[in-house]
Parts: sequence; C-alpha cells; structure tokens
Amino acid sequence: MSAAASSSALLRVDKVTRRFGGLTAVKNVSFTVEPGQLFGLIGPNGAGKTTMFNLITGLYVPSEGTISLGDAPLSGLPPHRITAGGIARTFQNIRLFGGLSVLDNVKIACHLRHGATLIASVMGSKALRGSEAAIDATANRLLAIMGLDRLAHETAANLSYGHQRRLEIARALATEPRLLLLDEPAAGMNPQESLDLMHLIRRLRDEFRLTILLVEHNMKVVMGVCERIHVMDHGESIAEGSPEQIRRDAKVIEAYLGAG
Amino acid sequence: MKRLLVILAFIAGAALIQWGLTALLLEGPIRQGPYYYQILILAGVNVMLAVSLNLTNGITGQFSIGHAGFFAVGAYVAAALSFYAGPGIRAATEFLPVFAQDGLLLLIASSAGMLAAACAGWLVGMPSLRLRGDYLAIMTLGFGEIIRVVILNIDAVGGARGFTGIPRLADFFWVLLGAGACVAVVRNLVKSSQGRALLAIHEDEIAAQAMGLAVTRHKVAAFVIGAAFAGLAGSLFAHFTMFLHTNSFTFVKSFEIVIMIALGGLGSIAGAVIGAVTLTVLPEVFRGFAEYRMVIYALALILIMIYRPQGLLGTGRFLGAGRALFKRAEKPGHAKDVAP
Repeated sequence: MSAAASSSALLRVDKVTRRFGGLTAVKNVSFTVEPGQLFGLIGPNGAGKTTMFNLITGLYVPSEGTISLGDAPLSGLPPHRITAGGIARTFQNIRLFGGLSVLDNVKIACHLRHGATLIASVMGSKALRGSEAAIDATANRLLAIMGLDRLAHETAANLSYGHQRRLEIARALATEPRLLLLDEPAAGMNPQESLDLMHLIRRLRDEFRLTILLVEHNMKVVMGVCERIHVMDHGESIAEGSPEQIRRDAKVIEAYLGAG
Repeated sequence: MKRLLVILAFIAGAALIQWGLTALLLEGPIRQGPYYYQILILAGVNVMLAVSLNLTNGITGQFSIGHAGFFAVGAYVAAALSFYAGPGIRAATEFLPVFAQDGLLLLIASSAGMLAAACAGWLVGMPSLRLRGDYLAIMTLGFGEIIRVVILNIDAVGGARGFTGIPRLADFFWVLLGAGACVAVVRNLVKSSQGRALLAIHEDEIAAQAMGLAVTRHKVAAFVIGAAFAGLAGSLFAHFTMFLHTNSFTFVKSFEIVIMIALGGLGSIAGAVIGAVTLTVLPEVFRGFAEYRMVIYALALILIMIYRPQGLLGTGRFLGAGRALFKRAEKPGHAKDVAP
C-alpha cells in the first residue's frame, strides 16, 4: 500500500482474515476505499463478500488484521459504535422492522443522531418534543427522496420487494453515514428496477456526499455503477481495478466461468 | 404548565375518589365494603405490576418471569424503612399534621423501595439481558426465587414468621397516584424515540444494532424502569396490608403478572391495565365455586390463547415475546445472477 493512498483513504481493510473453526471465510484481504468512491466488491457465491461486510460493520471480529475508518480503528468495536462512527449498511436478506410502519422504520434509525435522552423521554419534556420534531422532519425528507412518502404509514412487511430495498437504504441514510454499505441491493430486481437503482445509487452518492461500498451479483449494475472493483474468490482477493480491467482479467473470468 | 394542571387535577380526582370510597365502602352502608375496597387496592397494585412488566415482555420482546422478585424487594425495603426509621422521621416532622407525616413517610419509604428494586433490576439485567428468550426466562425465574429465599432468612424482616407491624400509610389515593405515574411514564417512553428503539429491538436485534442502537443498554433501561415500578407496587402493597410474607412473592405471582399482560395483549398499555383488573376481580367473583375456581380460570386462559392469541386488546402487531423465539429463521436466499 502506498503512503499517499493510506493518508487519504476513508476505509482501510488491512490483511484481514476471519476463520470459523476450520473454515477460513476471508483470508488476508486488503483494500482501501477513497472518499467519494463507488467501490464494488464482487465474487462468486461463497467468496466471503458478506463475511467481509459483517467484519466491517462489527457483527464479526477479524481473526487477524485491522479495519479502520479514516484514522479510527474499527476492529473490536460493537456494531452500534461502528454505525455511530459513520458506517451504515443494508442487508442481503432484508432485515426491516417488519411489524412497524415505514415511517417508524426510518425514525428508529434517526434516534442515533437526534434521539432524546431517557430522562427527557420519560418526563415528556420540551427537549423530547424538539427531538421528535427533528426526527419527524428527517424521516419524512428521506422517505420523499427514496420515493416512499406515499407509503409512510404502511406496515413495512407489506411493501413490495423493491420498496423494501429502498426502505432499507432510507433507514441506513437516517444514521447519517459517511460510508454506505449496500449488500446486493439489486437482488431479486427486474432489469428496469436495476436500472433505476443504478441511477439512485449515483444520485445518493452526489446528494449526500457518500462513499459507497457495494456487494453485488448483477454484473450490469456493478459494471455500470462502480468506479473501482475488488474481486474475491474462496475468501481471497484475486483482482482489483477499473470495470474495464476486471472485465478482461483472466483470473476473474476463470473464477466466474470455471477453468476452461 | 398544562401538564402541571393535568397532574394537579389527577391528584384532586384521586383524593375525591378516595373520599367517596371511604364514605361508601369503609364507613358506609355497603355490606362487605372493606372487602371490596381491598380488591380495588389489589387491582391497582396489579395494574402497576402488569404495566411495568409489559415494558420488558410486551414492548421490548424479552421474556422475564421474575417480576415478583422486584415486587418483593420494593415491599420489604420500603416496609423495613418505615418500620425502623419511621418513628425517627415522624419525630423530625412533628410540626406537620398527621396526614402529611403519613404521606411524607410513605413517599420516603416508596422512593427507597423503588430505588432498591431498580438497583436489583440493574444487577439482574446487566448479565441476563445479553441472553435471549428461554435463557433470560430461566435466569429471571431463578433470581425471583433467590430473592424470596434470601428474605425468608433475614430475621430483621420477620423471616418465615412474616413481617408484622408495618404502619398502614397507603390507601386507594396513593395506589391511584402510583398507577397513574406508572402508566404516564410507560406511555411517554413508548411514544418517544427511546420507545421506538425498544420496538426495534423486539423486531430484529441485529438490524437494531446496525441502526446504531446500543441494544443491551436499551433493554437494561426498560428492565430497570419496570423493576422500579414493581418496587413501588410492592411498597404500596406493604403499607396497605401491614403484613408481608414471602409466600406472596413466589414464582406463581410472577406467572400471574405474565398472564395478566398476555390476557390483555402484549405491548398494549390499556391491555395490561384491563388484564390486571380482570385477573384481580375474576377470581374473587368465582370465590363461591371455591374448588372449581382454578379450573375455570385455566379454561378461560386456554380459550383466550386459542381464539384470541394477541390478547383482548392486542394490536396484532406483537404476537408476543414467545413468537420472537421462532421467527429468527432466515428467509430463503434469492436466485443469484452469476454471469460475468
């Protein structure tokens, strides 16, 4: 890793390994994500992409290696502290608060930045009303941006698949992240929905000045949206580069299509 | 300002009701008046217990069955305080009229009871709320029994003979204030973003963490607040019955409270209130059938669980903490597009 890259990087994954018993799910993986980048993490099934996500967001602790956001090391912090530090995520198999309303889903995520203290909440004080007003405004604004404002009072579990994915993104944005991790946002979407999603991801990056790390299987989305791509296979890094470089990389083609 | 007026009006209303009840039931024309009065008090105490347990079991979706333990801590600590320190406090407040002395002593004793129960809640909650579902249930059940056995062996509070000589300081006025405070606090909490955090934890802990919620801290906070109000219920109970025995605080009492909130609807405050009142009054109504009482009681519960599992007032949103145990199964993965 060059000194120049390490000083400006937003997310730095350095020689990270994660073992589960005898299985090494992620092996000695390193990459850096620059501020404002749309970074793709791809690989065949079982390549360790979601494990990598869970390592970055603190659901798993690395067996070896370090992960840092800006200058702050993340490894070992509990998930909620990492979110507080500025990393938000969506889940591959959607994890909404299904029994609650769409609006409440987003409001819950607003608690991190705008929530009132326990004492203020119990007493129903003025501070609570101020915080509730801020939360209400933020949540409604995010729903409008994601095109969900008309569904605000619907129960989250009743939304269509595409809407649920959008709600997950709205909810992640409500934590006011610097880095947004999207775990297969296009899974289960038809070509038109995927296309809309690509536009949306770019728009979010520009509007919220985000850095986005994307795990995706849909090659059209990955190639269309990402500026830099890191490829994993069987837990190891096999390539990194621009979409054009990745498209032509012999190792990548082999990993996806099998050795000819 | 408006809130202060509401509180004052509530206090005045409670005083008026107490005056009416005294005239009607205690010194009045109705036969068995004091018996009805006692049922009212017990109903109020049970409302506090049910509403406070609902914060953990209904809203946060954790399954605690040790609530009688906190009820006992509050009862014994408050009773011991007014029994041993009461004369001293009265001497220091001699210049006040008797009813004010009583009220002040009760407030001090109840605060001590609440604080002790809250501390016990914190001690139990810190380690056990990291556990899930049935483990938490077993841990809280064990705690409840430990408390009871410890008290049984403290001679200063009567041990196995029971604690006698507690002054009667509480009446329906105080029970009404306690229940009102409990409902107000829980309602404020549930409507705030702290309450939404609890609902989120109920729905999905992993997602709640990913949204930046300190899951254990929120769970412990709900648990401690619940324990504090169980302590208040215990304190008022002790200062009404004037006698405490550990037999009132067995795990059967804990289950009774769980059943109250299951009956009323887990997660619903009004449901907890109605469940508590119903399960205080019903057994008394069936007292005539003495030996069939428990059978009818059990049958009623079974029928409710079959035909209305969300409880009488349940919103259908919270089918209960039990369901949370089973809904962890992952959704099946999606077909994946692997073409390069």
